[in-house]
Amino acid sequence: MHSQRNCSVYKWEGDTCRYKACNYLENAPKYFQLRKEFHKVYDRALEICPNYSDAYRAKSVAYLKTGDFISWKKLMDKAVEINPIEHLGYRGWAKFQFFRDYKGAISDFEYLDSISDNDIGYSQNGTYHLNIAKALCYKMLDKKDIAISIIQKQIENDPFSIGIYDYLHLGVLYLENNKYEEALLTFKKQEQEYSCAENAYYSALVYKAIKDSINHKKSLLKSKDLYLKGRKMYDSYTHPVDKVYLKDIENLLE
Amino acid sequence: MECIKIDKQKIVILFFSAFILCILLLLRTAKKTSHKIVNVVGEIFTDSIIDNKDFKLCGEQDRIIQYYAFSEKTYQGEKTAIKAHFHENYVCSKNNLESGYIRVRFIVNCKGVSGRFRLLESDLNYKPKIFSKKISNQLLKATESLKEWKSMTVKGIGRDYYQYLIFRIEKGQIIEILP
Repeated sequence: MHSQRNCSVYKWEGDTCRYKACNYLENAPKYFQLRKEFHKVYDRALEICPNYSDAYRAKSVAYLKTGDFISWKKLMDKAVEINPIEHLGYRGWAKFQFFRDYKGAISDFEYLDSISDNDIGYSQNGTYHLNIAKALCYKMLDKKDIAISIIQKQIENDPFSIGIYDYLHLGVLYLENNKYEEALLTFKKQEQEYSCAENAYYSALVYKAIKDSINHKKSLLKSKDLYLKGRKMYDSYTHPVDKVYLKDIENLLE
Repeated sequence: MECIKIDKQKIVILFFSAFILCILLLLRTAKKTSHKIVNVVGEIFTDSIIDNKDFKLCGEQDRIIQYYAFSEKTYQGEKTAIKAHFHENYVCSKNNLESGYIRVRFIVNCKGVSGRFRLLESDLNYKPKIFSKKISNQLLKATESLKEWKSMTVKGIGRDYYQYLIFRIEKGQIIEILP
């Protein structure tokens, strides 16, 4: 759930309805988001202000985390309907992260971009700029050239905010497009950002493709070592795109 | 006239029996529901009709841990093993062109045994939909036959936990296994 706002913002804006709901939540008892008491508190906030979109979003999280896509979507649609600029990015990210709904996610990201004057922002977990998430959606829809171009542009436009896996994903895209030299260069950049099992694994695949058996083996051993040390892609809720598993590494080592 | 009298008696007895039966059923339902107050989203209660009678929780119903993504801590062989299991155990019918999401949610007890499997189904727009049994039953049975769930302990005490798998189905084929 995103953090509770400073209620005074609504007061300054003259929005008494949201101010009252926000204030009620600020002073209400706090419960675990899956508990029925949590939902009762947020239902009360919605009684105070039926257009308090944050309450719909807060309620949706319990359903998202338990995989109830039907109830989650109904609640998030309500939040988006009331305040699209605030919630489209999050809904798009959840569609991508939890349900691999690539087309649905792209649609939300692009619509947000079209109605907002600001940057479309970052994923809920802070791992990706939403443009990178959009690129990954295009990649998974097999539109790899579009994905490459989006990531390149994002890195170029915002070189000081490179995400922890941005170079890794770009390198894998180059590898998948048989651009081995670019792939290796990009994996080296990733190495400086965050050295992880996946980066060494995909480097090994490049070395295999260019028939460099020494570096192929060396990279696989490094990948296994990193994996066992816990230096691997991780997300508390889902499995990230381009993640590899111990079995994948061991299979190539055999 | 005699005949009519007997019929009336029969009807009275029949109505009286039906009335008693209704009362008993109502009492039974009330008793059942009084034990099934949902305290958390997605709570799974035991259902004597569909659940395996041998499946038992180690702890109390309200102490089941919510566990979101499976990993090496929860399944032996991680997602690779789960994908391989469904690759082996799910047969896609060529004539079935259904698409959507199917979630199978269940509980893993402190011994690593799974039970209380429940289905949730939707189309790709997240609207409720019922898949043909050929698809949903296969996924349910295949999920029930996953046997490498790991037991979980918290501060040395074995705990039960919730787990789920979501299948994104396109034209009858499993495209993704989530989370």
